[in-house]
Amino acid sequence: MLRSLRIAIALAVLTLILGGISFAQRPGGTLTIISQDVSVGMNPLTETVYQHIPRLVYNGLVDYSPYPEHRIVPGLAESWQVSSDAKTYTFKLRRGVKWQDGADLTSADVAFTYTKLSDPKSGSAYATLVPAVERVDTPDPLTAVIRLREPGPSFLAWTWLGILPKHIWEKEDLKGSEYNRKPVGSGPFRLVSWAKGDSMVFEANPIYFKGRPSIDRVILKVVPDLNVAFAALERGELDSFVFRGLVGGVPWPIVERLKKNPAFVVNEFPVSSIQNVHFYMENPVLRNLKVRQALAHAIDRQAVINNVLFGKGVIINNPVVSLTFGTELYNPSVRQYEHDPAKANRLLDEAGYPRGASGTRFPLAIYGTPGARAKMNELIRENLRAVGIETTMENYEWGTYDERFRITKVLGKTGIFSVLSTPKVPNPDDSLGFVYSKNAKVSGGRNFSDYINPKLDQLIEESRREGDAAKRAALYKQIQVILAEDLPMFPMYSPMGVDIWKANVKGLATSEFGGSTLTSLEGAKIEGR
Amino acid sequence: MLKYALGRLVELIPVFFLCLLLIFLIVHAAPGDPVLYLYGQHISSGEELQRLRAQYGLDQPLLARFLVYLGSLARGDLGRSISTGHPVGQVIARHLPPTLLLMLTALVLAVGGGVLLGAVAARRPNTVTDSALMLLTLIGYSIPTFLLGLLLILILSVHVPLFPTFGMTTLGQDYTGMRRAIDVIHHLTLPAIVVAVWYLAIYARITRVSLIGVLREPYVASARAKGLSEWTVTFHHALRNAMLPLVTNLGLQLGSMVTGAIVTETLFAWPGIGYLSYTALLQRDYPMLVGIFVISSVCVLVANLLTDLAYAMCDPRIRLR
Amino acid sequence: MRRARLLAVVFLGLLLVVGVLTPILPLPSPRSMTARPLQSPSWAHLFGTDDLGRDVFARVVWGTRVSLSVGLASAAIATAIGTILGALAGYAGGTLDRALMRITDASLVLPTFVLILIVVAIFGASVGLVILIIGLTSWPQTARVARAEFLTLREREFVLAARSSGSSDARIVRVHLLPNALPPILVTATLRVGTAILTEASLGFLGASDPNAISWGQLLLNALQVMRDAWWTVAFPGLAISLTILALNSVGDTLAARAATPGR
Repeated sequence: MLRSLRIAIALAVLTLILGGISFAQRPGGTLTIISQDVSVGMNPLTETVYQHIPRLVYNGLVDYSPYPEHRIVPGLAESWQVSSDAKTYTFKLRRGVKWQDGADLTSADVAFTYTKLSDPKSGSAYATLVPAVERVDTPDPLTAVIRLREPGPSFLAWTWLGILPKHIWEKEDLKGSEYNRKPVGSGPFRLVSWAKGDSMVFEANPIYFKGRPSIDRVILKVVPDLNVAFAALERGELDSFVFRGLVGGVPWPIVERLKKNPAFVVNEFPVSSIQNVHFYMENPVLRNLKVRQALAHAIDRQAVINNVLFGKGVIINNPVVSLTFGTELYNPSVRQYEHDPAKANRLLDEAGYPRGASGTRFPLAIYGTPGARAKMNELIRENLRAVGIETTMENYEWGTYDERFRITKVLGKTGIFSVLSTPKVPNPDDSLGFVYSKNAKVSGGRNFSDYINPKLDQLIEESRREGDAAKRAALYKQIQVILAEDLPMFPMYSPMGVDIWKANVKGLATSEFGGSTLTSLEGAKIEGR
Repeated sequence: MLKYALGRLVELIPVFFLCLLLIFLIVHAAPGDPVLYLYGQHISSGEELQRLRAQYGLDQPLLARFLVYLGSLARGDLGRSISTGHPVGQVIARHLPPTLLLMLTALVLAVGGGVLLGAVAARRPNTVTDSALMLLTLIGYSIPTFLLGLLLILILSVHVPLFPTFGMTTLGQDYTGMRRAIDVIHHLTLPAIVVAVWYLAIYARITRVSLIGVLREPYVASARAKGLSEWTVTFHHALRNAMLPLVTNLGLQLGSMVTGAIVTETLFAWPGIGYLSYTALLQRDYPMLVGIFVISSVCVLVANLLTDLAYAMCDPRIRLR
Repeated sequence: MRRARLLAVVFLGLLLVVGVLTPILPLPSPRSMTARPLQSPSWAHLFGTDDLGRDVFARVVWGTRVSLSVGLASAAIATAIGTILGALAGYAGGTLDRALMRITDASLVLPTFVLILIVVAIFGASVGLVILIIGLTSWPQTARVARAEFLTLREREFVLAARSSGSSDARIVRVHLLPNALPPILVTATLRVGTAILTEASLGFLGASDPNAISWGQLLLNALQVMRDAWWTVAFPGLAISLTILALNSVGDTLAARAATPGR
């Protein structure tokens, strides 16, 4: 009797121990994330739309802390120093970081990456966005001294971009290399399979310098239709949704339902993107300032927010500085364009476009893409009809739309189109490119309105060189005043974004910049599996 | 029999060429260069133009270019997708099996259900049951497919979550074997019903009319007199002969079935060529759309041929014509 | 049953009247977005409002106009072309007949909906283009029917009599054959209207119809996102399409039954 009792106790203890061990060592599980597009590229230097996805495989010198601080925190670099003229950046790299193929990460890789980044002939998409790098010195394997061609106070904000391994990319072409499909990075996950248009599968990197991530596998599942994707989320077939890189509108009715569901964590947050309606300056009608002002007064932005965005957005009054960047940068006292159809009518009369016999003044095309933008255009259409502008709508799918307003630049010549600008860094540096004359009148240039203002250019160039934060803020405020007067594009709203994940996923943090919410994947874990 | 099959094939080939010619002409009437629409290539520079000239005969007269196009089709080259760069043929081949699965299932449901309903109605002509069934079938082929799909989704997937709303498999899971089969069947149910309803209604009507006629035949009366049960009489004796018009109609409908799935597949995000057509339309992926057109035509031709052969097997008179 | 048929005809007549008179009917604007979105049906808004605050009743009525014009116009085109070609083939026979048969066979093999999508993708969607392309892709069905009729009719005694008395072919076709061939042609014409309306609605549902026109299919597409909480955005456009097609098919049925009765 005693003997069987002892055996029983031993077995019980053994079970508890084993159970305890297995619970502690239980595999980290798989997390599926909704992805929308087939065209995401895995090269941090050429990918601009979904640039947060390479962050799973690559690291940058720095990272961003989560929303709302979005502070710059150490990444591959454990510390850095900026010279007083903002031309020299010295980064001290962490010790012991290894590439996923086992090689050591050194300052030579940093030098290689930034040289390539600044070289427009390499195919880097950031050559004109990031302050140009003159050269990079590497006094020792853990120190990289980046010297810029001109003072660039905003440079640090860009150093979240992934570092490429020199020993792999030395002889490779940035765009065509097969390492774009089989990337070797230093990051928390390795890309193990990629079925284009269907899914990307990542596995935890056991030699990651911050420690192997708890989550074993991350699957980015492509679901082009957001309604379908969110329905899958609701049914629990997919685990999470990350807002960054969204195309089309968020299905807010589903989100509202998910908020009430304790099985999900729903983070709603203001996004830095700005939806601007562009006025092409070569268009004979839109060239007239009074016409642009009239259009601005005619459009009811609050109605767009209420009806198209289900109330999830705020009106914004300048096209380049987001509300999320902080009140020190945003200028609230620029010229306002409230919804005032009477004023719009008056301005159009003054501009020399009286109503004809049928009540219309002139025809205008409104271009858009299916989904939320098309709905917004329908509303704008009604607003314009109320002031005597007859409109025709044309919708294209995003790729065609992008080609037509950015590359062949045909849309603006006959109508208006809107573009949602999304800053890649938490300051207006990136967005100023939309109104900078060097980006105008070139195919693929970011100045979609072909707006040219030498005075504004001067302010932009000064702001890019100005090291003192207060002085720079003052320059930004001046820029906003000019843009509100000239109205090359009409700022409509800033939308809300949403991140959603199952409640049993812990450790994820919403972020808008750098690697976005995916940055926190390396520290996340799935509980109670 | 073989002679008949070959004969039919020879008759159908010019039909196919007519279809190809049509799409070729449409593409040439379009703005932009036809090479983009047919092969997915942009003509961007001078040396590009030289190469493409040689490859596709761009400075040749229309007929020569048509022959070049036929040649590439014969090689299986349907061009490249504008949006992904993948070869069109491969993408279509990947998406064909789900459509075939959906179509065949719907067909089985439609024929089975239709014949059953038609038989029930035929045995009680001009009664309340008959009228009710006739009304039901009228509604069946009058309701638009996407509306039916929407309603079924609302009722059987949203309010009462019996069935999944979309897709062919549960996203985020990689089932294999039996579990996968069950998962697919689960997802297949609603779309198959939606596609089947229209055809079911038509087949019910055809069966009814045909069966009513056959049931009046003397040999049926004699079968009854022999003491065989009503069901045996109906299904064994009468139905076989009544099926001929059904088979004819089936062949005619096969054409619309392949592309009639476009709306249903889009609604349910069923990954077949219908859904592919929808995404190709959205992305203005012309080579993909043209490729789908060509492949669908081939499928329908083959289906028609098979139906004709089946018909000929049932009715020897056809063969010997 | 007869009452049902009468109902169908009355319904279609009503639809026609409404479609023609739409611009002068006392309706709220179908496009203005002034009302609160997603209101359930009420006296102010008979069919409720949609997600952009537009009156669904007005939109359904305006949708009638588009659907009917597409249906009737494309059916007219298809019937006209089909009858002429089918008559020629059926009456003349020979190579003309064989050529026509090839073409109608081709049309049965043609994936017409994909073809329409291609045309819309290339040339953009407009009501006129849609009418044209539907008309041009559906004439073969009518041609088959016309041909079959003319083929049988030309062997009838009264035709032989007319020929022997010296009437020209054209006169024979016009005076003797056409009136007798009409009933089946009318049947198929009615069905053409139905399928044209269905095709147009499907195009609208896929987002491939004219964005400047209000179409029933488009209304259903817009309803997708909100249908869970706003049943009226689906129910009323859905009913509109279904009842219209139902009525057309019902009338077509009747005509077919009449045409099939012997002793014509």
